[in-house]
Amino acid sequence: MNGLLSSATVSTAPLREGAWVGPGAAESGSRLRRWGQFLRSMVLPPKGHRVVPTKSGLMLIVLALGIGMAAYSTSSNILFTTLALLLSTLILSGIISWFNFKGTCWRLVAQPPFRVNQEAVVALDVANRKRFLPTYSLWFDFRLREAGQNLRIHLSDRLDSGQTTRLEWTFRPASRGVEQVEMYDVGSQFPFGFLKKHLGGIAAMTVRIWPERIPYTFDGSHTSVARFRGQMARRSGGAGDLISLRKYQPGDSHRQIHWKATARSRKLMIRQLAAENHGGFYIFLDPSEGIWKSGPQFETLCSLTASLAEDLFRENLLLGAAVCGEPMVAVRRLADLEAFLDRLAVLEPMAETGRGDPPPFRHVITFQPSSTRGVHAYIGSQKAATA
Amino acid sequence: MPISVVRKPPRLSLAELLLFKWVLGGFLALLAIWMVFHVDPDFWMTAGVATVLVLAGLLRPDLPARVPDWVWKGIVPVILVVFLFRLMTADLIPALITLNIWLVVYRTLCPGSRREEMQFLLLCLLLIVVTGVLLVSLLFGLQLLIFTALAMSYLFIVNLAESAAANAEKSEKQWRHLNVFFFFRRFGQVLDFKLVVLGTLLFFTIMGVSTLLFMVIPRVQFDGSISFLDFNRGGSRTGFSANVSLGEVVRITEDTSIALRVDVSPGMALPETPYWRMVVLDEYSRGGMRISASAASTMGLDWDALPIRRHELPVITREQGPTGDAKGRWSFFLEGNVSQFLPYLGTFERLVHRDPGELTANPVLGLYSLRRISGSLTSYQIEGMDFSGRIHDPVLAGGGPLLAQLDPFISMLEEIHDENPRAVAYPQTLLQTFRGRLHQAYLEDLVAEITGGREMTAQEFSRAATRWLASRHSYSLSVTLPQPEGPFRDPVIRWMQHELPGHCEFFAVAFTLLARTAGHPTRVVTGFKGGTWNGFENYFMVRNSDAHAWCEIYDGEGYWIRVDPTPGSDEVGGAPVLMAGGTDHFLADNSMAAYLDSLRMIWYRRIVSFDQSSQVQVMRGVRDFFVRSYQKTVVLLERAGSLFVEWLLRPWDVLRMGYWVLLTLAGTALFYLLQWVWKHAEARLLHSGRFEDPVRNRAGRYLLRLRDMARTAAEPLVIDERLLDDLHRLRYGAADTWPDPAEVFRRVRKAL
Repeated sequence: MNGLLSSATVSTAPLREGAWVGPGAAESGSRLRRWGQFLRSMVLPPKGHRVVPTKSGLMLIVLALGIGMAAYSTSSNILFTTLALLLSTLILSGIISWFNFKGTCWRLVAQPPFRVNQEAVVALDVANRKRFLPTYSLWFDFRLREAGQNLRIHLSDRLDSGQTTRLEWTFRPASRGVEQVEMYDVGSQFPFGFLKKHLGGIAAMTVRIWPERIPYTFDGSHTSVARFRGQMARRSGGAGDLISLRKYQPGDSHRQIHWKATARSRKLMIRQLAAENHGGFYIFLDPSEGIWKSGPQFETLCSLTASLAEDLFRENLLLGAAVCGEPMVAVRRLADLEAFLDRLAVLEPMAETGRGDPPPFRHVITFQPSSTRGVHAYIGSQKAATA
Repeated sequence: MPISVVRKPPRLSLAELLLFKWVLGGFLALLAIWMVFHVDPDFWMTAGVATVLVLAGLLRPDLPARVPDWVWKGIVPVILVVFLFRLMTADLIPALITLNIWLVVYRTLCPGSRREEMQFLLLCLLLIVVTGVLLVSLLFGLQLLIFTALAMSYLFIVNLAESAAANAEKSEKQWRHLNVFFFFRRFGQVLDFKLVVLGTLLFFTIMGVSTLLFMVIPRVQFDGSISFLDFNRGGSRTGFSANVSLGEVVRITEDTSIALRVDVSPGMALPETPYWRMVVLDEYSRGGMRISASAASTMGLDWDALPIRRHELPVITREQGPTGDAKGRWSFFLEGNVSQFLPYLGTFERLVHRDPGELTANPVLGLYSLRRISGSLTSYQIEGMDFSGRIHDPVLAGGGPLLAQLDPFISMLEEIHDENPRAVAYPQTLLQTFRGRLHQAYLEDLVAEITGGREMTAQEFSRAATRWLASRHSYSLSVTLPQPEGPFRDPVIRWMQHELPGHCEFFAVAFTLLARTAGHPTRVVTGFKGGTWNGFENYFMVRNSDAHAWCEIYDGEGYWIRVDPTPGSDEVGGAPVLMAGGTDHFLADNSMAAYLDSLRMIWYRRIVSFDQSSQVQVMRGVRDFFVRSYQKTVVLLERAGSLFVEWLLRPWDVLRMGYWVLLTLAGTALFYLLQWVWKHAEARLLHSGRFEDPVRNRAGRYLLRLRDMARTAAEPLVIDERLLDDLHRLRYGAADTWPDPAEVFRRVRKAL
């Protein structure tokens, strides 16, 4: 492994889906009970529900007032007819708006990974659970609490009854950490644009922003790949010659299941490949304040660690990873790597701990600052990477 | 919940939505301008140019885009300048209508933000309301219906376009270059059944709620209501004015349009031939009749200050009388620009008008008129109408000499007379004929010939004079008088001298001159005679062609008796024939024109004349309906209960029990069957997109054909498994997993 590594993500983590919320999500129970809820909501609107006239609506109200006064002053039924029409339009505008929201629900869907300076996708599944009526023209207001970003996305197409659609939006996180993605308002001016209906705070989801991928050089050629007793072994399998069969263990790739042997032995059997027994590296990170005095340098440390861990994992060379003071975790599958990256996302410089030395394995990668901003990675005493 | 994979039906793109909005805006503008053509010919030019501009913009949306921005910015000040100029040269209302038209055109061709689009809609609505108030026409109702549908669609599309534009990466400007006709075809493609049903439902819901609101909005009537947008569009017809020349009434008869509609109080004995009296003319002058200055000046007098028997005068009020139904309540709908005088049949007790301040009464002549002629419909009600053909005169009814009883009134008339000593003052005008001895002598000779020198009562003279006139003159609408020769220059005298045929005005004026010469106060009345009975909505349709002139002769006992000297009339001073069967004896007009007119009458009855009392009536009707329904339901339930108990107590044998068990089972089975049918029908309706997908349908058809082939084949049929799989996937699978349908269908055709 040499030179600048690819910046492509290795993550195939499943989507993270929030709970369905909205008027359609809560529609449970008998029809009578739902009607009861509806009537109650007419008298006491749920918290956050607001109906505000738009500029067009205000114009209409002012016009209706004018025509009403003229109608009363002149007793002209032509004017009373027009007044009735304007009022009915306003009233029905509110009722149709209610029907538009009825049976509609949505949930936040996060599509990991979220990484500093890489586009991240947050999606919203919108479902129309009405039996007959379509849903039109909703908008959803999002907020990234930490980053202070706001965004509005629109449901521009008609959503027919029984259908679900996904609205996506992307953002580029500026710093690692924990980010709160909030959908704080759902609104619509449907059908005539006279009234703006808001449903208020709706859904939130917490995501972890991993450190940024950075370019670095890595040279581990001087290390031997022979494995030592007691060292951890990866079981992902994926390359090399078939050595033997062994029992399945959690974390093994399903692609390596040997189905014929499984059928014979009636136990899940896995193809054991030569790659499993190749040696690899351990990552050991010491976030002591005494070492990492500069904030940017600490960020570089996190970024280099994350990038290195990811790339070693892709090459099946990452055996384990640990933060100083925490137990070494074997990285056997993607979830282990993601757990380590999640830890890096929230890692902060710690007080001088002295809580632990690097594990007594060979090929442990440790990190030391270089100059003012740079970071060196060492394998033993040999410098292996620089960022 | 998985993301839907059903193939989406075709939808309009943002560009198509914008074009749709443009087209709807054009239609709305055309609709608003359309009614202006009916208001007055003065607007034809403006409305015509506006229509052409809107049409051009509608068909070629790219044209307005070529106009530079500075031109658009400069147009509004120009429109305002035109408005100010028009304001200086014309009335406010024509100027406002013109301003409104140009602003509608401007907003149609240069739409802007959403707020400006709302302004456009409100401008269109304002134009429609103004023309509607001016015309009070049924067309306004139609126009408002279409406007509602179009405006709803317009706002709906604006909403959709805004949502689509918010998600669009770049603003769409190419829509102006789309072909409008192509768009209509495209629109037909995206229109689906569900959308049409929803739109129609929404439209009718709005109509229903509007109707309900119209009925329940409280009608609080203030005193002195303002006359809103009353626009005189050309004055009254001259035959129904205060000054009528010979031939002017006949000229009205050339127009067959409807001038008056009358809702008749049901169940009353009605005159066989109704005479709708409008204008009473007491002064004769050179072949014409007019309301004398002295009589006219009594219009609007404070009659309470005069020693007339006040209770004998009709009441003009806003409130309907409590006994209106018992004594008969007639509703009149007089079209605009017919006359400022209100037609009625005979003496009455109460005239109900929404604004009594707009009316003036002249009990001297028995006239009721608007203060100024209305360009729009006038509706009023008359209660307690008398059909005896006799008009009570509260002034002359004193019996004794007028001077003795009516000092203030007479002194007032004398004051008027003093201002113009040559003029003859009322009531002397009722006996006035000619100043010249020659004409007077001629008339006296004729009267002597008619009466044979006998003293006659008013009725006797009326019959004799009418017979005499009919014996010398036939009826004709066309009269050619000979050139004046000798000393006789008066047209009526010449008409009598030459025994010419003539129309109603000649007969009426001639009779008046003869009766006055004989010493009977007489006056000419113009109005309508007869009318057509509308069989659809049961009301009188009185056309302008029913215009007529007749006379009233004073009987010396406080009453004016109707005399119609025109040949063919039976009204010669006797009591008119009353038909006890109410309206049954009238020959109903059931033609298409009558049907269309009945729609107009519904509009007048239900909308234009809807007032506080109608509201109370509706509420009472609703309450009565529910009370009646409740009572009926209670009776039915009681009856059903007793029948059930009776049925239950009858002896039960096996046969009867089996019969009812079977019936119950059959009923239950039918219930579940219907439920099943409904469920499936509902599924088809609700998910019509899936079942109506042409690819799925076609795959389904091919599957059926393959199954039939396999069933009917003599030998076992070998069908490619993959082909069957593909067909099943096309028929039932998610759309994104489909193989290429064209390829699959080609393989199926080959296999078939």
